[in-house]
Amino acid sequence: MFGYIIPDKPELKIKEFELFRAYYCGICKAIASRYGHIPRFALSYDLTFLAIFLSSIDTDDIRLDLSRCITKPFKKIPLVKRDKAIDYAAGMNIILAYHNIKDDIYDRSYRAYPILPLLYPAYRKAKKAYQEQDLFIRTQLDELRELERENCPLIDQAAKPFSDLLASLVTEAASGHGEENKVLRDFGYNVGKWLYTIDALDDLLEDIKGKNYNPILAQFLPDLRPKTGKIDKEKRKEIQEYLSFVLNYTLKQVCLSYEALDIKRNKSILDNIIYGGMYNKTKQILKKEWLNESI
Amino acid sequence: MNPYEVLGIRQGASEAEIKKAYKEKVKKYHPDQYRNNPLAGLAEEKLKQVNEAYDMLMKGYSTGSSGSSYNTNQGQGSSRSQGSGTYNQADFNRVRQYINMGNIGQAERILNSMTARPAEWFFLRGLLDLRIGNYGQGYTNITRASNMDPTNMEYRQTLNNLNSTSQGYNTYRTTNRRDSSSDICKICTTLYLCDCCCECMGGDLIICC
Repeated sequence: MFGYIIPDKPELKIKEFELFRAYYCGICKAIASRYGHIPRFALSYDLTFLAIFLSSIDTDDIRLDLSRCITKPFKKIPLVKRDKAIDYAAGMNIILAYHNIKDDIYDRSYRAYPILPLLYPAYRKAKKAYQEQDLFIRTQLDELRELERENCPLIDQAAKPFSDLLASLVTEAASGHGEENKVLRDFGYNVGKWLYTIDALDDLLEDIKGKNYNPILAQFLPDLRPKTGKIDKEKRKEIQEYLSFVLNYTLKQVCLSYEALDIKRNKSILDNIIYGGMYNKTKQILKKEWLNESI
Repeated sequence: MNPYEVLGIRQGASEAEIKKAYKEKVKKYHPDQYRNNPLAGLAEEKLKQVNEAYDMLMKGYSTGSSGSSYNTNQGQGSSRSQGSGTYNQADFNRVRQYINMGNIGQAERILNSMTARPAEWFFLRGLLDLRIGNYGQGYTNITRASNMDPTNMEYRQTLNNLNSTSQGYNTYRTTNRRDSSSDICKICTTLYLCDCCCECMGGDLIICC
């Protein structure tokens, strides 16, 4: 479910790209200094986006620093100094990665087994720092696993735990009040819903072959025999239209809540990601060849 | 366009006659009848004309004696039966009020307690779904309401708005980004075309082209 929220790189100004990288490297460094070097593999673009977003609505300014990176031993690189948003993104990276891997194991993907003990010490530390968040994440992922086990036949319902998860990730960190909190919740909820839905569409073909749960399969093709992988033209069109509506409408809601917020900094990067990156990703996944074949 | 001709009725037909003719035409040109049919495009065109004709004629009449429109039967507790069981229009009005106030729980409770499920039920259920974040369900329910009652303008309008919303996101990015390269393309192309037109007429806008 990660790697979908990325910037539209060709449209980024160089200074914006450098700032994005500074956030990415800043979180990496925060993970390294707080949790060690091994858990750095947990770093993801999506949570970098979260850090940039949280910075943008915070009252405090960010501070940039020139620092060494283990991958570039001879050159100092600019990165964002550890602050609330960076630490939070670092912690969430670890917690989410840990639970994801645990879920993989639960789904009997054994290749994840060796990674878990490597991540555990970091997870324990992150959990201590963000106890409530960890509990909420676990609850939501448990609920998701339960829905998957029951072969939930409604995409909206299956998406709900993850949407609520993202909503809480945003509201817990931002600590807004009243109306603003509601907008933040909507923002997080819709980003989460978009992520879950687009991931489901992206994995659809694989999940048919692998017999994994997929909400789109459950809703539209409950009788499809596993491993056949053949979906007739009418069904493909139906799925395409439905998913096109849901993804675009959800993105529209993301934009609406984003525009209702008071963005104090990083606006151009966020604009690029929300209007450019996420839009392109949606188009790319919806245009997938197998969805649009005319045979 | 002559709306009477499109609907196949005489000039000065009564409201009831117009409605009857409209329903028949909608049934005739409904997209469901033309699935996998090469004439689907033509049917769609015809249906559009039928809708326009109906709109034109109904403007002359006072709004709503079609029971499913919101403005009528307010608080009059009229009962109608549809399918299994009866439903009360007043209940639907209360649901609408709750939705407008943002009281989703109460609205849901009333809808869930109803046994009869006419088009209005699906429409209101769809609105609720959109409110609580179940966009796919909302879209399905509102589409269903519109299919069950194609004469209802509110359902049709809402569905059109939803469809344009999801297109609308695409226009979002173009208004938020200035893509200067395509502007230059537009300017050059426009000038060239103007020059061609000018030359056709005997003049010459750009001498070197």
